Amino acid sequence: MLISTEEILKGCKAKEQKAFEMLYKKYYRILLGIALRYSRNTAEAEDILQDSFIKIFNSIDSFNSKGSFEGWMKRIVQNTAINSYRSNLKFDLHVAITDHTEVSDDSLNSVFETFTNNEIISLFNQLPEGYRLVLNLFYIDGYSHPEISEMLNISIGTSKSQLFKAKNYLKNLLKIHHKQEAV
Amino acid sequence: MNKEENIKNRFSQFEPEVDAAAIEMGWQKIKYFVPQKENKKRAGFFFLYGAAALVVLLGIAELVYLSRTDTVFTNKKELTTHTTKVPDNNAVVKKDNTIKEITSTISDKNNVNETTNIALKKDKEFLQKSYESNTSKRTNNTKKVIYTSVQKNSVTNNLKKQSGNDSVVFNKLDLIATSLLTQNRPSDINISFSNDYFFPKPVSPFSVDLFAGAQLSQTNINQNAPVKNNHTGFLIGISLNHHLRNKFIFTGQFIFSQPNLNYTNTLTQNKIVSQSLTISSTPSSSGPDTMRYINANTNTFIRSKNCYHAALGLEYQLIKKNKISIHTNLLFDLRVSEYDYGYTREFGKDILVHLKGTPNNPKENLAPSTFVEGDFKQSTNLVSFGLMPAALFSYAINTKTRVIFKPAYFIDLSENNLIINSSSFKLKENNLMLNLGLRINL
Repeated sequence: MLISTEEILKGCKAKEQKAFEMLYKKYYRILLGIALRYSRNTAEAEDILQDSFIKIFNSIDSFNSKGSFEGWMKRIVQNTAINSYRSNLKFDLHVAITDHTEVSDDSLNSVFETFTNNEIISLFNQLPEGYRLVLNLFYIDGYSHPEISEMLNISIGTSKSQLFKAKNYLKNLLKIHHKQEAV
Repeated sequence: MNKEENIKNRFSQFEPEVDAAAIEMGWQKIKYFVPQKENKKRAGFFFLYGAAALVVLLGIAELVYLSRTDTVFTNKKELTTHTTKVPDNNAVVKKDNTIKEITSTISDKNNVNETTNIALKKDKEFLQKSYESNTSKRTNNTKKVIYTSVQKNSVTNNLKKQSGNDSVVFNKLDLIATSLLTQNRPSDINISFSNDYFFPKPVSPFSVDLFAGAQLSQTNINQNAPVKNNHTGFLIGISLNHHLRNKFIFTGQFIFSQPNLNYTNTLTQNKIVSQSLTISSTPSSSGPDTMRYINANTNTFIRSKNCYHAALGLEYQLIKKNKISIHTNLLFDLRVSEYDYGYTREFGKDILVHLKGTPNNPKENLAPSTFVEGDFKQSTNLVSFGLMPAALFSYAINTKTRVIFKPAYFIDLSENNLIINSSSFKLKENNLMLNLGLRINL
């Protein structure tokens, strides 16, 4: 029996255990997809997802039903991933550069089109944490550099440099990938 | 639709392939953190409030009983008349007359048997003592007038009843009623007047204790190995006491306490003991960077916020001497404790070994410690019950107030389970409570 999101949401607000379970099972995959993009591996993604679900469960009353429920949950996963990044912050690789050459996104887009989602996620996982975060936020989730700088508490220049480095890094990874395929 | 939007759409709808068993396993881990229904959460409070309400109802019933008792033994209408009309000097004269009247009445009663004579003599002695003590303290207090008039009235009635072969006990009850009005109701009137002579007590068997205390708690957390924690806190409380028979006191208590329990760092586990990764650096670098992180910990904390007790018990008087009294006390205690629990992640002294191209000359950095609070936090209520043996030492400041020192020890008979990150913790609390209180007689 298919139950609508509204009904699940209503059940969750009434603190019904079954409703929470349905919510968890319904949105597990799609939210895991987001967590995977922001993490190094599946285990870390699952950690982020579990933390996110706990936050969702505990703050479900604060969802006012005006916006998209799915969007609201995705935002929580993103924020949890960012918090996880902050708490795991071991080093400061951010070097602000104000003058750098823009890399055309077209080349990257063309490459992405030839890859499956799983392959792209796998490439993302290989990126250093800071690079991966900025690339995800800017390139996939569509945040601007000022927004990213605010979210990550870094300067706009740092955000740009991280993106620049991330793209270069990704290109190197693609080169290695192509070489391996050729071999 | 351009390429960029295509990519965004692809990822926004991206769902990795996960089998149902993995999802079920994930749910089993997380289901303990699902918020509970409010009524379940409040079940403990319901019992607690019920117990508190019972104590209050008991108090009200006692007050009703007390007011009825007063009416029977004092004849309030008559008192009112005398308090407004009779001046103080006349009261003294009247009191002298009363004593004379009693004396003459006793001497006239030749037919009264020996037992009654002894009782009457005791009455007389008691009245004389009371009169003397009141005369010495005499002020312009209208209550002294009441004393005289009621005393006269009651003694007259007593004598009438004695002549009708009424029991001596009843006569003495009447005297106590008089005494109650004249002596400004000292705090321990029940004990001081009821133990030796009179039964049943016609005065209020009801008293109230107000507590403010310090609390020393010991909590045992058992996971793999028992962990004991000592903490301090404070408590405030109210106790309604019903004095039974001679030396027993039935007690109902309601106590609020803040035990101030913090368990930060009690459960430390190395989540990331060591991790290394090799990345190819920026194109300009001469070689790969190697970074190693060590000493990363995850700390779990449990914090107790508020604790509500409702207790019912029986108190027994051991010693009552002058202004000091000592009691033993055994209470059955029901408590609801509010807990915050969850985990914080602390990364202390993480050493980053940064090898950049030249392995023989590693550059070592000490990364700043990062402390992130509230990664995950949840609140719950735990209901526990136990026995609370206590001692009560009291010292009378004046006739209405007593200072009370009451150490009590709570022995937790229940065992509560906390589940954090799928790990079960057994929580058992034993508390030593040191109360400094003030007893105010109603």
